[in-house]
Amino acid sequence: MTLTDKNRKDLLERMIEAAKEVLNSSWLEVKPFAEQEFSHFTDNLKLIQELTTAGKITQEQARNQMEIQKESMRLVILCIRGVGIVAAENTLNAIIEVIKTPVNKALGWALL
Amino acid sequence: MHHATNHPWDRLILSCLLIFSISCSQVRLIQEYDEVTDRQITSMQEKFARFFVKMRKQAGMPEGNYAKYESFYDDVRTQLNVLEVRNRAIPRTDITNDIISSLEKEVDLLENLHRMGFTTYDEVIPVKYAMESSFAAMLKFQLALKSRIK
Repeated sequence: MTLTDKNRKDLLERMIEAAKEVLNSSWLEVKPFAEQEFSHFTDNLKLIQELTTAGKITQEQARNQMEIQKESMRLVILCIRGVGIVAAENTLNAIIEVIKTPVNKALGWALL
Repeated sequence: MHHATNHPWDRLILSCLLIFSISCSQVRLIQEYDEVTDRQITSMQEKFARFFVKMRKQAGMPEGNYAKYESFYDDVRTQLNVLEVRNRAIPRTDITNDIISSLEKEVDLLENLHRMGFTTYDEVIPVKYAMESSFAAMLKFQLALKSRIK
C-alpha cells in the first residue's frame, strides 16, 4: 500500500487525537511539540517506503528501520507524558501558592 | 478546631490539599531535575550528531563499515548503562528509566542496520531523523524538569 499525502494526513490526525485523549488537560502545553514530532514520524515512514520501493533497502532493513521509528515514537510519547506531568504539577503548585495565604489565615496556623 | 474548617469550601480545599501535601507546600508528581542526566543526554546527542555527519561522507565507503564503529557503539552503550544505573537510584524516575530503555533499543536497531551495511547516505537519513526526534524530546523533558515551579 502506498503512503499517500492523504494517508499521512489521516495518520497524523489520528495520532494527535489519540495523544489528546491520553494527555487530557496537559495537551495544550505539549501540543506544538507533539504535532511537530508526529509529523516527522509520518515523513520518516514515507522515506522508508521510498527506499523500499526503489529497492535501495531489503525487507529486513526496512523492518529494522520501522522498528527504530516505532521506538523513537514511543520515546517521544514518554517524554510528552513527562512534560505533561510537570505541567500538571506546575498548575497544582500555582493553585496552592494562590490559596496558601487565605487557607493559612482561615486556619490560624501555617498548613501550607 | 477552628470554626472556618466547618465551611464546606474549607473542608473541600483542605481535603484536596492534605492528599497532596501534608508537611510540604510543593507537590512533586515526578522526579527532581538531575543535571548529570541532562549533561549525559547532551553528550550522547553530540556523539550521534558526529556519527551522522561522518556517515554522510562514509556511507558506502570502507571507512563507514561497522567494524570501524564497534568502539562507538561500546562507548554509547556504556554511557547508557551509567545513566540507567544512576536513574534507578533516583526516586520517581519511572518515565526516565523507560526513556533510557527505549533509547537502548534504538541503539541496538541502529547497530543491526549498520552491521547489514549502509550503501548510501539515503538509508541513514530516516534513522538520523528518528534519533534527532528522540533527543529533542528528551531535552524538552529535561527542560520541563529544570524550569518547573520551585
